[in-house]
Amino acid sequence: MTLYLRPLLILLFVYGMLPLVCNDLPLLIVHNHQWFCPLMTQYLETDFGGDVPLKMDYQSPEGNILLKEAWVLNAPYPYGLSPDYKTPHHLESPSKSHWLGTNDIGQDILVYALHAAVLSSLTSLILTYLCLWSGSLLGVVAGLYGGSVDITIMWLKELCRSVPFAFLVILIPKHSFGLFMVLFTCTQWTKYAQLCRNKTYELCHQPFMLDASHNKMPLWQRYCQHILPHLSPLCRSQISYTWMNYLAMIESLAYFDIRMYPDLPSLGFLIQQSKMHPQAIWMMTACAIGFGMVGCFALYFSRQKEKDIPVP
Amino acid sequence: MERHYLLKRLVSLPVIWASIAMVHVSILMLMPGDAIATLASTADPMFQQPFNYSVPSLATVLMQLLQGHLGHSIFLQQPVSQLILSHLRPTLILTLMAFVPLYGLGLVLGWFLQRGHVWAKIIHQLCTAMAALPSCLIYTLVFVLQYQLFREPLSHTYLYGAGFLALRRIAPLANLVSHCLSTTIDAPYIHMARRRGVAPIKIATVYILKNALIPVWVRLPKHFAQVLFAGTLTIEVLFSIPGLGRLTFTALKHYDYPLIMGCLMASCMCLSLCYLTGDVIAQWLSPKMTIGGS
Repeated sequence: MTLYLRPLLILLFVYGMLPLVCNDLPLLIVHNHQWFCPLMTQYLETDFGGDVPLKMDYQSPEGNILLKEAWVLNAPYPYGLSPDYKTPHHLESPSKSHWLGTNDIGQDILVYALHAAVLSSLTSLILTYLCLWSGSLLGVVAGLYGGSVDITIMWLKELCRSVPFAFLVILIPKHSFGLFMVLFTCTQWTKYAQLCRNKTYELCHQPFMLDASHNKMPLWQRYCQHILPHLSPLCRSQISYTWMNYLAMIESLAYFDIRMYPDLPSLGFLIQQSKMHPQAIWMMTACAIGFGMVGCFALYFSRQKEKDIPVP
Repeated sequence: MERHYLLKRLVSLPVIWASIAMVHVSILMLMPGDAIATLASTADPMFQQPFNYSVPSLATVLMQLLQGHLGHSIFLQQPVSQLILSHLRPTLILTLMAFVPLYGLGLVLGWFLQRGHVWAKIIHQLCTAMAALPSCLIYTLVFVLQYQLFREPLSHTYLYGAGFLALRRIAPLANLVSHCLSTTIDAPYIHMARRRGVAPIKIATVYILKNALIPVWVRLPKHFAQVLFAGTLTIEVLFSIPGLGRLTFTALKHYDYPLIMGCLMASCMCLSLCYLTGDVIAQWLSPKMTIGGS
C-alpha cells in the first residue's frame, strides 16, 4: 500500500511546497514587531500603516514604500502564477530574472511549467488509481464468481470500451472536474478489469485456491489471503505506463481546449501556446522540461516497483 | 473455418451495429435537460443557422441504417454518408503510408530485438519513449523547430503524419514480433530441422517466420482499423489533413450529432468487419486453430 501511495504523497508534498519555492508574495513580513504571513492571509494596506483600506499589493511601488522599514522574507524564485508587471514587454526570452522567459501575458514560464507538471501528474495519477481500484474490484468479482456475473461484467466492459471518452466529454456541456473524473473512470476501468479477471481465473485453478474452497474459506478471506498478494504486483507493474498514457490523453484534450481545470495551469495549454508563438522557443523548452520531469518521476517509480515488490 | 461460426459471426454483425446505435441514441436521450437545446446553446456562437433537428428514435436510426443512410449533417448541410466517403480517401492514404514503415521497421526491429542487438534495444527504448509522449507535444516540437530553422510552416504533412503514426506504434509491434519469434525459435520442429541439415535461410523464412508471425498477421486488420479511425484523429487535426478524423473532430466541436453518430457508426462497422477478417486470416494461416469452441 505504501508503494501505491508513495508517488501520490510525494506529489502532494511537492504541490504544497511549490508556493514556498516560487511565489510573488512574501513568505513572511515583520513590521513594527508584528508578524505577517501573506501566503495564509490577505492583508490591507492599513495593516502596514497605509491610509486607504485597499488590498495590499506587495509588488507595487506603494507597497514597496510601505514595506521599506519592514523585514521581508521572499521566496527563492520570486515569481508566481500572476503576471509579472515589472516585465517591460511580454514574451520575454530567458534571462537572469526569468529563467525560462515569460509567456504572452507576462507569466513566468518556469513557474507555470512547474505547476502544470505537478498538477497534471497528480490528476493523471488519481485517475490511474480510480481506474485501478474500480477495474480490479470488478475484475476479481468476475473471476471469482464466474458464470452470469462474469458475462455481465464483461458485457459492461465491452460497452464502456465502445464509447469513446472524448465523445462523452465534448457532449456534456459543462466540464466540471468531478464529472470529468467519473466519465474517465467509467470508460477506462476496462483494462485493469480484464487483467485482474484473467489472473483471478488462473489463480482459481491453483492448488492453494482449490484447498481454500474445499475448506469453505469465506470469499473475502480467500481474496485477502490468496488473490490480493498475487494481483498486487501485476497491477503495480502497469501503473507507471497507465499513468503516462492518461497524462498524454489529458494533455492532448487540453491542447484541443477540453480542459479538466480551465483556471489552473496545464501542460497541454502550454503546448498550445508554444505553437501559437513558434518564435518563443523557450516555451517549447518548458513543455519538454515539464514532460521530462513527469517522465523521470514515473520511471523512478516503476524502478522502485521492481525493487520493492515481494514475490508471493 | 467452421461454416457455422462464420455464419454466426456474420449474422451477429447487424445486431452489434444496432446495439451500438442504441447506445449512441440513449446517450443523447439521457443527456440532462433538453438535449437539442443543450447542443444548440453550447454550439459554436459563429454557427447561427436555424437548428432544425430533433432526437431520432431508435426505430428511425435502425431504418436509416438498413437503408445505408446515416442522416444529414447539421453543420455542413450535406448527407453524412457522402461526407464520410469524400473524407475517407486522405485517411486511407495516411494510414497506408503509415503502415508500410510501421510493419517494415517493426518486423526488422523485432527480429534484431529477439537476437539481443544493443542498437535494436536502444531504438526500441526510444520508440517506447515516443509512444508515451502526447502527439501534440511532438508535433509542436517539430513545428517550432521547422519555424526556427527554416522560417516556414510545416510542409509534407502526409509524410510527417504517417511518420508520427508509425513511430508511436513500432515499439509494441516489435515487442510482439520479438516475443513470437522467441517462442518459435525453441520449438522442437526447429531443432529437428537443424539436425536434419536444412539450410539456415530456409529455416528462418519457411520454418520460423511463417509460423511465428501468425499472431502479427492476425492482428493486422484490427490494427489497421484502429489506426484508420482512432489514430488518425489527432494527427489529421494537428497536420490539417482533410480526412475522416478531422471530420469527426469538426463534428464534435460543432455538436453536429448526426455527423458524430455517422462517423462513430462507420468506425464501429469497419472495426467489427476487421475483427472478423482477423479471425478468417487466423484460420487461413493456421488451419489447426479452432474458433468458436468447436
